Amino acid sequence: MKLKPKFDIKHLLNNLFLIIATSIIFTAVLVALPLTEKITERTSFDLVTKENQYWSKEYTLELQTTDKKSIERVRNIIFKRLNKFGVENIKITNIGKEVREEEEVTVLKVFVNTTKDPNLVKELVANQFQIRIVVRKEEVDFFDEEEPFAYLFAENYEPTGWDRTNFRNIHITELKTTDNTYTYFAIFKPWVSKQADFTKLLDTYRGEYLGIDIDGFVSPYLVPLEEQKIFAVPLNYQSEKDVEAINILYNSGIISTSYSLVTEENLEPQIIKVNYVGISIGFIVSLLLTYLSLVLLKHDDINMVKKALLASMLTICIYLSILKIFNIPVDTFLLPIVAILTFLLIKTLVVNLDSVIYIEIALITVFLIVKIVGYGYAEILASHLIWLVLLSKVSLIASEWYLNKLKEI
Amino acid sequence: MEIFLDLWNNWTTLEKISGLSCFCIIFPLLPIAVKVITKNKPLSIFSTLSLLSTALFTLIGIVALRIVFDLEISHIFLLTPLVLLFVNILNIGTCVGYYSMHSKRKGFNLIELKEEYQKDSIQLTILILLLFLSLSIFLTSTFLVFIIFTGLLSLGIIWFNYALFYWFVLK
Repeated sequence: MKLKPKFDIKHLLNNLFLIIATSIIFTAVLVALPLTEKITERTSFDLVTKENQYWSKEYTLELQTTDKKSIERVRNIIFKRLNKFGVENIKITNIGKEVREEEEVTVLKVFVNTTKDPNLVKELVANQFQIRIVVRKEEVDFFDEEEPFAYLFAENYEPTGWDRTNFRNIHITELKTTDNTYTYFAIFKPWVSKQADFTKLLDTYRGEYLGIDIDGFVSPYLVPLEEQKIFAVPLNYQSEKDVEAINILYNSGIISTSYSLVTEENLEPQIIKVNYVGISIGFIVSLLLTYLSLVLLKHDDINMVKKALLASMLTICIYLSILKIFNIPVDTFLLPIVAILTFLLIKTLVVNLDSVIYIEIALITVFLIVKIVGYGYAEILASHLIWLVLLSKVSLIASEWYLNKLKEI
Repeated sequence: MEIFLDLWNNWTTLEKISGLSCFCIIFPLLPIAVKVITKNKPLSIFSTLSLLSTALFTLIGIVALRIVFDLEISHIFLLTPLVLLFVNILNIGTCVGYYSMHSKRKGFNLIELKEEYQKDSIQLTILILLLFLSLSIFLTSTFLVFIIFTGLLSLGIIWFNYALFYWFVLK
């Protein structure tokens, strides 16, 4: 009699998947736990916190106007610039009128508390960024050896009548240059009604220099001899952050009021410090206590408790692991808020299966609205929560699958 | 009133537009969604009033912190409305979900919905209490105030919602 060994491939694969899933869960937990980075020196599992990157400043601006509408426009555009750049905390206060050299000026205080590049933030606050297209004055010689930088100054140019108001957008993009390298260009896109006139202007100056005057400094632009369809001015910036800032300056509105940066004062950064290790321990204890109390009070079915507990741990651990592995900087004070809301969400979803779809859609819609329309920390928290709602969904499905498979063994 | 006027005047027009847009989009959107899902007018009124009460609770809470406790309202308190909205959506969502799934079942009545809603509210209360309290042990200064303030308001909203449900849906 021959003994045929029974080889159940399905069972084997199930077990194999279970082992893989268990190792993934363990890895995620280990990576997410605080101080795990001390276990291995091969890879860094440090949570990149923003706490040490914060700096705070107050800029004082003097506006050459006392007109309320103009002041409000300047405030709005500076706020828009800083908000687009991701400055976390912005406050722009109108201090009031003051007299400077027999002229009334308005003083604005711009307070920032942020982790963003200080030089670029200053650029966004200090520059009026008034753009004009100009043409060389006939009497000025740019090849005069005595004045080698003559081509840079606006006084050596005449206005063409074209300024930022004539362009609907200035698109910043990377384009191939003649020497086959890539560089950033600012493409000036005129309003449809102005397109024909702009083409005429370019035709008029074929083979000659035009200039882009930005706040009194001019970048020369040689209009090609052949017919020109786009007006693309090369930019002298290579880093992505610089280009992001310049794009914001070009496209965040037109400040027609002249202003100057008078002072900048360093302030103590406003940091909400959180004991990350203590909070993690607190959370683990509270989570276990919460679920234990639910079991002891016989409030919930044990299977639901297991599922909710596993899904909660999994969501938070995967979220923290992603932050750690990809070195995503995070405000530590947002982590406890995120954790509390995730636990509440998962517990509610596990118990109320009828409501899952409504709650998920409502939450994602609300957070998307806040992300699009909101600003500052509300916008940052909303972006984190969108991902966490999605991650909770995946974790709930994975937890159910995992627990069912465990039962089958 | 003065602190709100100060806050309002210090905001740029963009900040005002941003805040108002969030409110004006979310505020009608959720009750409309409730109306479409449940086709029940009292539930729609209940969700509208619930959202309004969230906004009102936040305002009253901030005034109380500023005037009664003389605490400085920092930028972190701008997160309170978002957290409260989250809790409110969970709270209303459980009620709406149960109603939409069971309202057509034979023998369904509002008392059953009330019991289910009460159970969910109790559960949410236990969770919020335990999570916020356990966290508070490790916190200090502004963040501690923020967590206690937001936790208490969340509990207030859950049980005010329950009262609204009782008055507008059950009666």
